[in-house]
Amino acid sequence: MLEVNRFRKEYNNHVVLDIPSLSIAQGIHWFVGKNGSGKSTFFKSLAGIIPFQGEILFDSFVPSEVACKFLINYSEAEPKYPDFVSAKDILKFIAYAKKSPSGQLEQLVSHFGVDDYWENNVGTYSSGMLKKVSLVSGFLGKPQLIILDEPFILVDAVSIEKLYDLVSKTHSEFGTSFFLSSHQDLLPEKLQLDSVLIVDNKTIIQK
Amino acid sequence: MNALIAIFRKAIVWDYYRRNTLFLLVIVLFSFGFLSGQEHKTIVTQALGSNKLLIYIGLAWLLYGVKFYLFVLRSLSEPEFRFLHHIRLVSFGKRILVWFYICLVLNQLTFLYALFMVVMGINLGKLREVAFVLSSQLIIIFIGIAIFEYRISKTAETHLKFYLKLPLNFRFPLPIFLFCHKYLILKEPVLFFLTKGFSIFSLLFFVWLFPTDEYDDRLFGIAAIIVAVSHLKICSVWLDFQYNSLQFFQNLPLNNWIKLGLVFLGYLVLLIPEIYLFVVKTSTVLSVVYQIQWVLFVLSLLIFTHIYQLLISISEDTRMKWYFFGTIFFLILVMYKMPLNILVLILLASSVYLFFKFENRFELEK
Repeated sequence: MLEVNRFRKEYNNHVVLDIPSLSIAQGIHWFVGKNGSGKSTFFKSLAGIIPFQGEILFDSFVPSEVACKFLINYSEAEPKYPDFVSAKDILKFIAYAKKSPSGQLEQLVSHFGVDDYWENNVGTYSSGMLKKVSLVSGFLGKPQLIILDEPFILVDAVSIEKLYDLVSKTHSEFGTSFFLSSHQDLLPEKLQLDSVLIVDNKTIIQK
Repeated sequence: MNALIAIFRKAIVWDYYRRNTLFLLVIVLFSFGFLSGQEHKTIVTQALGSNKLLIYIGLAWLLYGVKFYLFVLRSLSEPEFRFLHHIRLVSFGKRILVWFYICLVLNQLTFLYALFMVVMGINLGKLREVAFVLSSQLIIIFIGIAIFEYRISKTAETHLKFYLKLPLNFRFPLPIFLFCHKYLILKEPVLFFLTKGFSIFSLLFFVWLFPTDEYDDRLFGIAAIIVAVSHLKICSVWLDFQYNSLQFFQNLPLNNWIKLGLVFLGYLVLLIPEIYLFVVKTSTVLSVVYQIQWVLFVLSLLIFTHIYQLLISISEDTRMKWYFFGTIFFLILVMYKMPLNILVLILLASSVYLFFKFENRFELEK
């Protein structure tokens, strides 16, 4: 599913991530690494948000290709949206761009309880409310891979349960793969993980 | 005292002129390259004979004043210039002298022109108008002194930010190409209204100058370049906003033509006041075809400016140098009667090329 070769990401001539080679098959994969280890950098590169050196191929597509952006969705660890627009405006646009099936957005916002507040401006949300908006955006469309960066931080226990259910259901019904990350060593017991990847020493290795 | 003035001169005055070289050069090039001395005399004579025009000129000077007030305020908030806050330890009188000096040298562009108007006014015996010109310059300087003195009374870390608040129930669905406009109006209102004010004032001035015996519609070509250059900061803020607050946008499966279309729509909306004024004010003197060419020329200049920022392979200094020489080059092309539609084609073709080549490689510096 995913092939990474000679991946390298630098900031101000300082290498933050260097992956000579990495292959990941379909499934649910758990990325563990301390803060600043490069998890988000890798995810953002994969989602086509930031440029990088080297090669990433997802089903033979490179992340910057439009076709690849239909296949990979990314939900940020600490989402940032303009505080003067509503989540409804943002999510509707993402749903439109990702060619989300009819009714999918309404189902997702209802599942996470985002519809209670999504017409208000983002500036009035708590960090947990904002995180749920980002989680909803991750499921829109028909992606083959959903990247959830630190999905269990900021949200309450009820929402975590709902997220577990949705990840399991989406994976079993549509065969969607998941990359989930955490800076803590605890593994999610309610998810059937296919592999655990360690992000450390500026690289990623499979455990 | 000399040491105090020297440090403020190096930290603020030089920095101001270094950062605004392009803006000032375009103004100076137009004022003293395009308009002759005789035309300046005609303009000043007309202004001294019309209270309305005199007030407009005073407002334009004030607008320029706001530009340098904001620059000084921003500098005083930047970490590398926080040492300047030690001026609080100096006596009140000396502080006022330093602020007076700063205001005077930053305002010298309009101040020197005001002196020219004063000399002409005295020669023409228009003493009331001379008093107005002098007092408006003094007011601009005293406003600056008051603002800087107030700023220095706060801590160095204080951020004096102006933003507008709308009522919570003020909601309407907002298409994504208008996100930046709302950001500019709510979060950067001073920059937004100052830019629009300056741009509109400049355009009206050119419309007022036209027609002259010596110049044809090239005058509007130059006006278009000034309108575009005055939006330079907005283009930069726009890109920062997009890559900071709309990161999800880069993960959306939108092809480059749609993204370019959004940029085009965004700038078209931003330019509505200028386009409206231009079309209305020149409807009797210019053909519709020329008006459309002019609108496309301003739009293509702004789109190019926006996309040009995506070039990551060159340093910021080099980018600004190229931008500077590019602007001069375009001014020369306009003055040598290069048709606007050819310039539009060159700008749009370059914009499309740069966008396709660099859009996916761009990332804001960390």
